[in-house]
Amino acid sequence: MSGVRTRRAALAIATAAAVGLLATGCSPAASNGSGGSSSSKVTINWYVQPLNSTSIWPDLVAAFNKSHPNIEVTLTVGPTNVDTVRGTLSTQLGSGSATPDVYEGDITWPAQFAKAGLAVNLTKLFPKSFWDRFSPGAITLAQYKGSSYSVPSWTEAAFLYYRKDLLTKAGLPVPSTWEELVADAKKVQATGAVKDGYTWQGAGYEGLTCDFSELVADAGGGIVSSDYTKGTLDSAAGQKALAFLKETIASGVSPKATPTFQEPQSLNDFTAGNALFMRNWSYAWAITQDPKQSKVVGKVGMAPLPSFAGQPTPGASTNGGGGMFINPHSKYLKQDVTFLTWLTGTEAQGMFASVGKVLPANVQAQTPQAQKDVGPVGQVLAKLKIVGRPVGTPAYSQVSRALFQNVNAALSGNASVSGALSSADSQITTALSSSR
Amino acid sequence: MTSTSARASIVGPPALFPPRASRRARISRRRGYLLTAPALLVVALVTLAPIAFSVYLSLCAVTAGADGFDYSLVGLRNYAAALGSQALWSALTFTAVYTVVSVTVQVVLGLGVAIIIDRMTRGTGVVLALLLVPWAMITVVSGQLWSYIFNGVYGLADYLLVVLHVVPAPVTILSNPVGAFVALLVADSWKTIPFVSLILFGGLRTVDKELYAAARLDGAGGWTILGRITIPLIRQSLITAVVFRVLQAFGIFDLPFVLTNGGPGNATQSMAMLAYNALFQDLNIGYGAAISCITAAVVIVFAVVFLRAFKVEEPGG
Repeated sequence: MSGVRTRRAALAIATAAAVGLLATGCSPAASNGSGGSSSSKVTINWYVQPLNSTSIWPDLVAAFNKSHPNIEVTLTVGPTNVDTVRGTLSTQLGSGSATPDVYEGDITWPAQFAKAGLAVNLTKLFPKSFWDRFSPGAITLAQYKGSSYSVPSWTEAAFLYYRKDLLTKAGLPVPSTWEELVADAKKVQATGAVKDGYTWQGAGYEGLTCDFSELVADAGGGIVSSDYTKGTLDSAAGQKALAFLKETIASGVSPKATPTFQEPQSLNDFTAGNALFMRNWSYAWAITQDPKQSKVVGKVGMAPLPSFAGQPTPGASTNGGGGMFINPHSKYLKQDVTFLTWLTGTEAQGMFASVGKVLPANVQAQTPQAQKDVGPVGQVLAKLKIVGRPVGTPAYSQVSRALFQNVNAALSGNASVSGALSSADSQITTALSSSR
Repeated sequence: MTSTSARASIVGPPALFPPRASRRARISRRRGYLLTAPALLVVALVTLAPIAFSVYLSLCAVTAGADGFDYSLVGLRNYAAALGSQALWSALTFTAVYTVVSVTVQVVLGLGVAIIIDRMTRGTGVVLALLLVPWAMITVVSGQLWSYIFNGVYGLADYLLVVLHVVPAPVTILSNPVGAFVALLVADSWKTIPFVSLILFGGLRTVDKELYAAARLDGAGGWTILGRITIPLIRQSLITAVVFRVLQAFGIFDLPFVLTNGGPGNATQSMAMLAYNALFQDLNIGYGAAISCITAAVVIVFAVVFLRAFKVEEPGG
């Protein structure tokens, strides 16, 4: 009998302890709210996308962990497709997961993630002086309704990659207009030195939105009205841009399969030595110079993208790059802030240039040495004319999809130029009106 | 003799419980309910509860707040928006056409494969094991392999088409709606024909082979045997295969997601992809849930109509 009583008492104590633990939370951080105790070591998870073939992410983690004995950062590297990453993270964060604590997101996400409650408002978490390290343009892109939701970490932009050996051999300068680029491509293709003249991204995905928005800007147009109320693609500028892209495929300057090309396909075409010109991001530089992956090492040059004849040069370049967001359910906000403060400091930002071969977002770290470290990217970046995508609306994903699906349909010959643009405008206007 | 054997093979087992059950049978039935209750509860929790929640979400505008999500009922607004969207009708058309074409092709070819295996006198086990390989492969992985095959620059499909003089020069298979549709059909059939074959092979094994001999003695040809004996006798297996395949084909997502990303344009965007975009790209939860519910409703209507049309026998019926 006493044995039964003892067991019951033990059970009651165990139950009370379990209930107590559940009520107070079992994690070390729960003991002192959002900060975690200063003496206990906490682990925060950092989710990033693959950047390039360099070891930048593990190197950054190792450097931080070495200098911060009370915080351990663990790294999770997701897939390359940014849309897949958005699906993964929105599912994970939307279901209340406390990890990842800090995640890398696209430049187009702040408005959408802020509205959906998937990112912490960072304006109150960081001191005002923290934001001085970034350019005003980078800060604006990371904001929604006046508050910051993303910490810019590295800068990315679109470039024209060219085969300097073949242009030199043909006695051609680097083209500054699209018309020159097509003419040069045809000349060099005619010699048999390359199969393709110009390779770019024409598949139905976010990359096509970038490619197309550059050409529309070159032709003097835009994707949406300045007040974000309607689509403005079905214009003279939009039609010129789409007609040009279709013609590159029809004339054989670009591969017939371009409507299925994303960055990896166009990069493969270029690094295999098949193409004279390529439009791609700065991350591609390191890959074109990696002998394991490229047959054109030492033969590549970088320049700003061309513009249309009669328009100001250089042409427009879409900006990209990575920004870091904080998970609203993270248990370690204090440590997240410590990590992001370090990540955007000059030491880590210098590593982005020296190891990652991409330009840092911290303007103080954009030194001549950093520009030298990242190769031609550093020298050319200052000459670019950056054009933004319409990311100020939470409906950006719908705006972009309306653009790339309709433009892709026209590129594949399944819709007329004006029909595709008119349809895109209609869908963009509907998306914008439903998001207000 | 023939008709008796045929009937015997398609009529199910006798009813377990006659209308007037004895006390012992009633107790046994009650015990049966009691024993299955935990499993039924789990099924309800993991199946019915999410479905009910999806229906609820489809009637709500879901917004994020500081303390989590807020759900405010908006009636049928999400359904009205979805049904008024051109994208939904385009996706519904593609999904329906794809379902009809792919299931027809896969059942016809699957039946052929099943009949061949049924007639094999040796090596049946090896062939069955090999048949499982495509079915066992994860669709995302096989989809990626097929994307290499259909690649417009270095793809094997283009190479073969040119070598075999089907086309004079490489064609961009995934850049035109018909090509992309066929590519999806081929990749999907490669994976699912074995599944259909295995189900139908199971049905064929229950057919008394003496029936074929008797039919031949009566002068029946191959097609007559197929139409008058084989298909009627494996009707239940055929119905099972068709229902499974229709449910899977109507919910197709992973293959177009990897192989075509819904393109060119939105020519191969399925209903599931449309719902995925709304839910996980646009973070428009109510709207995405409405698309999911519309898709489920279409499939349920099909299943009910199909099963009634083909009068599926119930055990003891």
